[in-house]
Amino acid sequence: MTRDTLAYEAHQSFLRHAKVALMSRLFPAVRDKVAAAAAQGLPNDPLEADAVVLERLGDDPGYRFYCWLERYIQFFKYRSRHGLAAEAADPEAPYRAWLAEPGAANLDLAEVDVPAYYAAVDTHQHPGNLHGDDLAGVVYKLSAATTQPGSTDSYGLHYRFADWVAPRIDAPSRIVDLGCGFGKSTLPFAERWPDATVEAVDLSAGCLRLAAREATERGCANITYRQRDALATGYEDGAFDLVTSTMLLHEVDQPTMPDLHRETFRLLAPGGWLVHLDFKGRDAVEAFFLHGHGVRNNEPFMAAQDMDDTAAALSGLGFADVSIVPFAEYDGALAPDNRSWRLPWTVFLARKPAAA
Amino acid sequence: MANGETGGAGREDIDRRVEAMFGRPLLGDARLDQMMGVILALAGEVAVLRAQVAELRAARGPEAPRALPAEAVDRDMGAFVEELFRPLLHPDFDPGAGGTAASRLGDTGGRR
Repeated sequence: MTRDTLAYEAHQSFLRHAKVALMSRLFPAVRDKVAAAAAQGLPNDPLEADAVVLERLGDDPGYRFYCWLERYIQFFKYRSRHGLAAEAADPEAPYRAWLAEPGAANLDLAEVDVPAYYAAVDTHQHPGNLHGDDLAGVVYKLSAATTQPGSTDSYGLHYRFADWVAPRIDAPSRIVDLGCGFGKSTLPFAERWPDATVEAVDLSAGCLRLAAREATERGCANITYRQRDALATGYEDGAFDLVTSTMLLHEVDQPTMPDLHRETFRLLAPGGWLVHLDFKGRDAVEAFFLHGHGVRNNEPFMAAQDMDDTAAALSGLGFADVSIVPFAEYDGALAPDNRSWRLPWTVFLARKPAAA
Repeated sequence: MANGETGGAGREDIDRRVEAMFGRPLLGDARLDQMMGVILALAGEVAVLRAQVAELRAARGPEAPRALPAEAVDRDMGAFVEELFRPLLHPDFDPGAGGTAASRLGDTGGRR
């Protein structure tokens, strides 16, 4: 390791180990306390249930330290002088060379209006948010490797998702990935169905540049990345037989969510499939931690998304075969004896009727 | 979470309520949040110094490589975090006997 990168690598390693300790060592005891509080009975309203759990936890120091560490490990990961933002901005670092040149055949950049609700927060505590500048994609990519250190990496979870989807749908020939980020969710679908035409859209030019470069490097020639709003993509009606997204739902403001659902229905050809990968608590305990995580990690729509009746919204638009299924992001993730912290990954699957 | 049980709460109401329940201060006092931030920042700097010292020492060895392997840095950070977080990770962490010196020493005042 060179001297130039030693401080950055050491600091990130320190924070990664701190997060592993938080997830696998500190969290289980805190979870037991929350489960014990929930077992005494809770109101049906999820937010009232959260309030009751908090009241029963009282001033529990383990819970408080868990919350503090969850927020501030992430804070220092991004914003310390050895953090991701400083590393990406280092003029001697290689990251600027990662960005595709404008005009690349698989990249279509165009100014888009970023929704005010999205621009108002530094999502994930990412300085300037994911659309902030060209280096935002680099920072996001560096960050994604440690979302759940030790259990998932930047891409493994997404290949698992494509593996999960494949046997449950008809093989698609036209795919669109909404909110594709730096392409980690697009590549597994494009590689699984190499004869399919794959479109991928995102608000962030920085993420799209990175995605386009990586697809080229991997020889993945069936993807085109376009800078567009997932809520108004501009594609023709019925243009796709698979519409997918990963970690998009919880970043959409609830008043805007019907627009997203309508757009996905419009984009699908009759008989086409909709598959979102996002989060939903399986019970009051998972919901409690998910709602808190949303606040502590600057993902302000997480609680509302968790409480949203997505199945009813999709069915109301005409989708059929709607199912909402917990997703194991690694082997054993959903096992009852898994006591480590995890996000409650969930698949939202639906089909546009053939006669629609 | 089972949905449709929000009592008709609007989006702004949900946002406000979750922020009130889960927002800062996380340790019950904003000053504690800040002071813990100072401590974690210091720990991060110590982590960096450990790696830099280790690399310097490795570079001085007769056959040592000039650069420290990333695996060695990562291994040391695991040990460092284990030690640093010991009071948090071990519920039975015991800083030792309490009480005043007199109560510990008894009537003899420690004289034999």
